[in-house]
Amino acid sequence: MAESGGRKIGVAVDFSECSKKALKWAIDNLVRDGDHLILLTVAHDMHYEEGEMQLWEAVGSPLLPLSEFSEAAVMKKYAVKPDAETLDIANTAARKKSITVVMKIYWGDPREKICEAVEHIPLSSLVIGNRGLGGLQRMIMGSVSNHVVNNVACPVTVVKAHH
Amino acid sequence: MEETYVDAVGVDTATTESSKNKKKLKVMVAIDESKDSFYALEWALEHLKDVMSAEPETGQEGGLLTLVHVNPSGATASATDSVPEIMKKAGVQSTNLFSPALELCRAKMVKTETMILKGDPKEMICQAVEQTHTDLLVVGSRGLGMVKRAFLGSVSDYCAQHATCPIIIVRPPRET
Repeated sequence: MAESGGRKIGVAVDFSECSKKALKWAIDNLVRDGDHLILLTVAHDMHYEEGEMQLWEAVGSPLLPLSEFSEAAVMKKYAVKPDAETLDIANTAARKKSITVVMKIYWGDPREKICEAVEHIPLSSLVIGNRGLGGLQRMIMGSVSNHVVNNVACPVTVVKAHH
Repeated sequence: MEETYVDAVGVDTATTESSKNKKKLKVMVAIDESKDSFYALEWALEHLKDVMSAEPETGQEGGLLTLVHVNPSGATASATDSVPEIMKKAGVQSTNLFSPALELCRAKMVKTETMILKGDPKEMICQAVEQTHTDLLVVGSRGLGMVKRAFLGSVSDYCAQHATCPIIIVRPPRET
C-alpha cells in the first residue's frame, strides 16, 4: 500500500480564503519530503483561437513549475492570476521541504475537472476546501467539494472554512 | 441515550520533554466491522506518519489517536436483554473490533485510546469530534451499507458535511 518514492498530492485552489486554508493544511500535515504538491486550479471556459491554447483547454495546461506560476507575465498567457498569499504559501513550502511544487490549470467545470485531474495525473490524494468562491454561503458544503468527495477514487481531505 | 467508555491504551513514547518541532495531531478514526474502516486507519497511519507517530530518536511525542466505534441503538441486543447484558454484549464485540486496529497503532508507535458510543453513528461521531477538540477525522467511504450504487455511505457523507474539523474520506483501492 505504501507508495515508493514521492506521492502526488493535489490541492484544489481557487485563491479563496478556504482554498488557502486547504493548501496550508496539506503542507503542514500531509506533504512530506520527496512529494509532488500539485495546485489544481480551474479557470473559466475560454474559447481560444490559438492552437496551443485549444489543446490546453481540452487536457489542461502542462504542469507549471513554481517559478513559472509565480510570474505574473507567464500567468497572463493562461489568464489566471494567482493571489500573492497563495504564492507565498507555495514558495515557503518549497523552501522548507524538499518537494516539487507545480500548478496545473484546467478550463471548464471545476466539478468535472478536479475529478479528471485525480484520474489523469494521477493523484495519491486530494485536499479541497469545503467552500470556495462560488456563492451560496448558505450551503453547508460547497457543490464542488461535495461532488468531488462522491466521485473520486483517491482519499480526499475536506478542509472546512470555519472551524 | 449515550454511554461512553474511554479506555486509554497508552504506548509509552518519549522519555524526555517533547521538542515541539512539529505539531502532532489529535486524530479520530471511526471504526466498524467493515474492511473499509480498517483500510482507512491503515492509510492514515501510513500517510500521516509525520503528524501522528512518536519519534523516539528525537524524543518527540506523537499525537493522540482515538478509535471510535458507535453501536447503533438496539442493534446488538434483543428486546429481552437486561441493560447489563446489552452493555456486556456491546463491550465484548467492541473489544474484538478494536484488537487488530490497536495492534496496528502500536506497531506505528501511535498513542491510542478507544471510545465506544451508542446512538446514531453519524451524529455521535460529529459530537465526539467537537467535544474532544479533534484536529482531524478519518472515515472509510462506505462501511457496512450494502447499497453499492451509492459512492458514499450515509455516515461518511454526513460527517463530511457536519464535522467541525477537517475530514479525510478514504476509499479502498478499486477492485477489478
